[in-house]
Amino acid sequence: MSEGQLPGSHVLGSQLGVGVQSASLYRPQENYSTKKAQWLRSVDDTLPEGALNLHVVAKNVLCDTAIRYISDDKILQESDNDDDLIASDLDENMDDLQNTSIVVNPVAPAVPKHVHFFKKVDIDNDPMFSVNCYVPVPLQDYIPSDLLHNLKGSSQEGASSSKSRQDTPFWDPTVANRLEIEHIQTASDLRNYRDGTEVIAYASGKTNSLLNVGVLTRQDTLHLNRHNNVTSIELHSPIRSIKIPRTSESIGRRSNLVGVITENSFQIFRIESIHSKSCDVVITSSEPLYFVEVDDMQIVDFAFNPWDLQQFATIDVRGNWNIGMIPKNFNNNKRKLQLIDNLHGTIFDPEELSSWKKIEWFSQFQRILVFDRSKMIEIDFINGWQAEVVQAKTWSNIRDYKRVDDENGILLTSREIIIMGASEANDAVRRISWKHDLDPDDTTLKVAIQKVKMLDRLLLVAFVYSMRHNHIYVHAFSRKKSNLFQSLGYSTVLEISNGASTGIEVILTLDEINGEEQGEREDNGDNNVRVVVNFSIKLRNSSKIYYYTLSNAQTSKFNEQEKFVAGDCNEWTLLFNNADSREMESIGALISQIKMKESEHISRIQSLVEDENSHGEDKYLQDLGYRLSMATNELLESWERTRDENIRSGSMSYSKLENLVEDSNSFTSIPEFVSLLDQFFRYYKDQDVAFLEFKKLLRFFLHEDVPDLDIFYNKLLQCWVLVSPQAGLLTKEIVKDIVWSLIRLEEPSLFEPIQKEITQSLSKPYQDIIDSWDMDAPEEEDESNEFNFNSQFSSTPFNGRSQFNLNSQSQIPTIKSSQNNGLTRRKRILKTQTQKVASTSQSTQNLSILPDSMTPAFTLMQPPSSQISFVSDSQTRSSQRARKKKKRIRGFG
Amino acid sequence: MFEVPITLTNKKFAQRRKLKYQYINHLSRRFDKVAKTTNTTDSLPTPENSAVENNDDDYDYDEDEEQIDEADVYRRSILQQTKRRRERHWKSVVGELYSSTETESDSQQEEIQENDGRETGRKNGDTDEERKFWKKHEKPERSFEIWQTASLQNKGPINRRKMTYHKFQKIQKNSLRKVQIPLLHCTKENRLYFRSLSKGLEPLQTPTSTIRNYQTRHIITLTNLLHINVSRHNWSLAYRIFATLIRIPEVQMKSIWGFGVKILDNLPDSSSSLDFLQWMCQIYSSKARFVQNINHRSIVPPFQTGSRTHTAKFATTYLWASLINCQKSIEPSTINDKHYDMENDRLQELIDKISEWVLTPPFMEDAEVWFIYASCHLLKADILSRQFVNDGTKGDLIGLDRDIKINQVIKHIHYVKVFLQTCLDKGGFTIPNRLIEIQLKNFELRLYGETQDVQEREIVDGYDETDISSVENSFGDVYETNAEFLDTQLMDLSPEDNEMAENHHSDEESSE
Repeated sequence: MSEGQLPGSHVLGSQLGVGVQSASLYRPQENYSTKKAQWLRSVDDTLPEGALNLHVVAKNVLCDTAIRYISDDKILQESDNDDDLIASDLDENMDDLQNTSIVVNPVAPAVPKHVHFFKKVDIDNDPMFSVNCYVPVPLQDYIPSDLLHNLKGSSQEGASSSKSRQDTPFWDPTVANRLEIEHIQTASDLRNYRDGTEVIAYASGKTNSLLNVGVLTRQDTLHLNRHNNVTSIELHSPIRSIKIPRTSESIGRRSNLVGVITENSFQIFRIESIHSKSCDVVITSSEPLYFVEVDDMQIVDFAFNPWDLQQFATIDVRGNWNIGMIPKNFNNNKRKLQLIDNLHGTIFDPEELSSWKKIEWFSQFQRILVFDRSKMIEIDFINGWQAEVVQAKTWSNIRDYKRVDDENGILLTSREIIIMGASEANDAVRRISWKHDLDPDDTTLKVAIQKVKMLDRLLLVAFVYSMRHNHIYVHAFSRKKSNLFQSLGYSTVLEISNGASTGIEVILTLDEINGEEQGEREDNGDNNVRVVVNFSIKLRNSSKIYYYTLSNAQTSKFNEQEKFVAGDCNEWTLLFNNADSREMESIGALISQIKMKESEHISRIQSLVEDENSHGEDKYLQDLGYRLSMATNELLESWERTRDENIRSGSMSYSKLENLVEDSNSFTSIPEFVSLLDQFFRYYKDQDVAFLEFKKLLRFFLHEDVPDLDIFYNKLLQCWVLVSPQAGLLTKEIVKDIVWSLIRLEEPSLFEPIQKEITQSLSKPYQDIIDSWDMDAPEEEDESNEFNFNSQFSSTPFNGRSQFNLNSQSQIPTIKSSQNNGLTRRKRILKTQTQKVASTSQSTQNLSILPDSMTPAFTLMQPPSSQISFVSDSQTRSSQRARKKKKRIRGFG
Repeated sequence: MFEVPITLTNKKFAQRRKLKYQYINHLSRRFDKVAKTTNTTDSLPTPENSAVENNDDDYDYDEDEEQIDEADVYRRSILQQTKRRRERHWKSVVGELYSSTETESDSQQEEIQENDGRETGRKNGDTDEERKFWKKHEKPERSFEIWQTASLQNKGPINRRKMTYHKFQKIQKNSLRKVQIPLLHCTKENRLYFRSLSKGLEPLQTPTSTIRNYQTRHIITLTNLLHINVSRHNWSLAYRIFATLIRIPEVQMKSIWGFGVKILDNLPDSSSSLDFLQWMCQIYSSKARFVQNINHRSIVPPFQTGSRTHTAKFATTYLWASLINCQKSIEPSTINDKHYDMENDRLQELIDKISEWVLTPPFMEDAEVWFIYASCHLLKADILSRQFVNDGTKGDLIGLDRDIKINQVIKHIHYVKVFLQTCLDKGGFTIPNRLIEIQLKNFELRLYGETQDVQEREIVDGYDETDISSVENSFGDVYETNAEFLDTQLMDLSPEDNEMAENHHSDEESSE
């Protein structure tokens, strides 16, 4: 029972899937009472069922690739070649960016003014017409029509919806990940025994040609450093892939390299040092290895030797692989990446069309795994042999491979997630597989692995994601200390919701650098295993990189810290991320103030609850009423006194009720409060004081008429009763607040002189308008007239005529908006009645014009007879007029 | 987002596949040619070489080559056939085949199929490019890919012949020209599809995303719901979805049986999943030979079907599930219960069933089934020998009764060993035979009252950490010695032997 402890096929290991059982081993025990499982199965049944029920605990924006972050200093060493202008095409020396401020990419390119669009341009190729002498070039540029057409099409597509953009039928598999997060250790870190820094490297810019490197900090979750200091390097060519090497645990250090593939070259950057305070990153770079130098074949993937920081391997689009060496430092003239001459080979396969290739180190210094979509080949480049371990020509394809540690890796095929391990002879063998049942035709599947350490085992959580949807397929394998792999036997599906963007571009996981959390993650109870998983994610068509924390803990069992994190993950954190310490302090003070207020409020409410039953309230309300009236009287007097001044200065005299009395909230009975207010209003209305009709304003809260404050209160309560057990009290408080802050009072008599003065200062036409505005009398008259007409109309068959009369009469511009509705409604009635009345010829004629349905489309038709046209004309006119009126009145309202 | 349990075919996809395989086949043919020329010369490119290569680009030459290739393929297929026939012949000589009549009928069948294939191939000419492609590759039955460990046969020297840009361009140019005419006849969409594919891009859409047929969409939606509800453990809802899904005629039960088992397992009525699996075994078990020539696009063998040489996954799942079920139901019951007897009968039933199964083709060659068979006996031996441990307190078994029971246990232990050996002989299966060995010894020790609970528990507890290096003795040796050992025991049950066994056992312990 050498490899693994599970019985199973030599070559295939255990094949699992939903509902599929694989070979197990019976382990007899003396006592059945012992808890130990009798069977050793390929499904790990020692973990509880819900161990993988992950849900999002926290989510925050790590950084936004659309924003260019500021960096203060020049980081890159000046290249030898100073003449950038000339050399920019041939020699892509990096320029420093002119980082002046945060620049968000402009949305649309500006079209120069002298470019005009023509539908079609014919160019005469007849040599007869060719011009031999000098002719001034016209100032209009020519754009080919098909380009224009394409542009139009794409812009339409873009405008219609994001979905159509997503439906671009193809993707380039050589664009791997333009984002990488990894621990690095610089030389000084090594010297000072520091563990290393988490660094993010991503591509940005319009054409993704900008390499950005920034330091991350970990405070509860992962953030960009406090200064938002990201170093950007322009590579002048679209970036296709970024990788930061993960070294083997056995060499005890981490790398400080960043490898980048662009459209035309492969280049390695070295992070020389990181300033601990300002987070400045000093980067040197190798000379780019241009594809022209390597037979014009585009390099699509590369890997770093985990045991040797200076060795790397590349593979190009046709499957030619090569081992290379990185120079020790990039400072002097020997900055060239060297490909080792005799360490190369090819896995070219004429049957393989896809340009997806992958290269990765395996279990030993000299063993690499080379992948294309249909093969996995193990190569020992020192001993000079290769072996085809996997041939996937028939029912599946290879989708992705991730190295887990020095012994194991996870292979994702279009049908399975497979754990591969090294046998004793260090050959790749298949250990256990899980059939994932995802769409086998989905070429964009990728996998990310997160290691979760537990007391007695290591949990490998595999996230399978696709560019086609926002769902993550999660499956976990547990690995016991004896290198026994088991599956958890089920998988879950996570949904990442994020607006319109569909598809996940990349998920990155980061191993914990320190094992201290191991203790925390152990079993709390017998059947409760806490699993916490973190990953960073970038969605397609989205510029933001998010950092997610997932946990299987039940919501009730959240500890305080997690709650804080979860509460914090809104836009505010994003805002405050950029704040410096001083600002943070003031924000903190603000928050504490808010909290204090809140607690005050709550304590008051609670005291109210206690007082509710005591009968001191009546007395309190009486007192309140008294105080209120006293204060109002005082106010009125003061207004009276300052009246003349007010007129002169033009200032208004009105006041909020809230300002008049203090301590106006210590009661609970809303009906009592209502009656108090009623009495108050009634009393002061007699004294010529006007109050704001707050009941009309309440309408805007609920979007329906509120006849009474009590009803308003009840409706609010209906909405909020689910939210909190103390909803009743809270609602009361809110209602009181609203009422107090809404009610205002004024004395109209005080305004009259001001009004007069203003009117007099106006010129004649404006005065007329204002005069006509307040004319209420004719309107009522008009309405009564209409009613008369209605009754008239029912008796007389000459409806058209009578209506016309009415319309001509009502040319007086004094119709109010409320009337419009009435008018149209009445016209409808009129129409139906017309249809019903069939006794006279006129009405029958009318019937012939009016459409059967009630649509007011009759204005569009041109009726044959003049009589009828007259009728319909008048109708149109009247409706138009009504509309005009409506507009005017609305303008004032 | 999930795999749909139906075969999606329509004209569009057929055309795409045809184009793709035509191109691929031509490309690989060209490549072989180029490789051959470079192989033979095996030197730096000389003017002569390049001249020859340039000649290849000529049209006329191309036609010739095509014909040659056709002939070549044909000749190769004939060669293959004869080879296979010879192989079969030798196999029958060696006696590996089960009966001569069966073989003949089989081979006749196959030939008919092959003839059919060739005829259609000839008729349609180029249309069967896909079949041509598939013919070239071995089709694995047990897994989706062909897996090999890097063994000596598998290892080869590193392929160092670099595919340069120019070489590839040369190959590609010709092949692209070849597909130009078919490209003219296909739809704009497919033309775009092919062009992108030949440039190394990959489709972002899958067939499922483009289908607008209502019923298919319905099936797709149901499948997605099924997967999601199973992953969320909404069993009752998942059950309803599953029930709806399998009533649709196009849906292939073979590709979603696992979900059925999982759902039925988690519903209150626990035995129904076994019934379902049994039903699967009865309906879908196939003993037909797995024909390499057929394009198995619609049904993918691993996890879905079985054949003469491959036990279907649902069959092994059925056996394991029922074995584990047996063991679990025995567990709580006390040994002398009536319930226990019933369960014991069930175990006996299972043993009988497997013994029948292993007489028929797919199972008799499958090491896993033999291992299950051995496990059954292991379980039985465990249960029976346990009586002796309990008897220490009760002292029920004496005399003849005791002897009979001892014989029973020893019989089962013997079976375990025999079947494990068969399993090993079949090969390709890893068994922790040392552990089983220790367990069997323990059973024997139980018979004579001198159980070594402590040691055993240590073994079982320390099982996960068992040292790998100490596993030297193959099962075969142990089996041999034990067979003798067994005989002596059967004849004479002296305490000395008992002690000897114990010593033997402790020796092993110390060595570990």
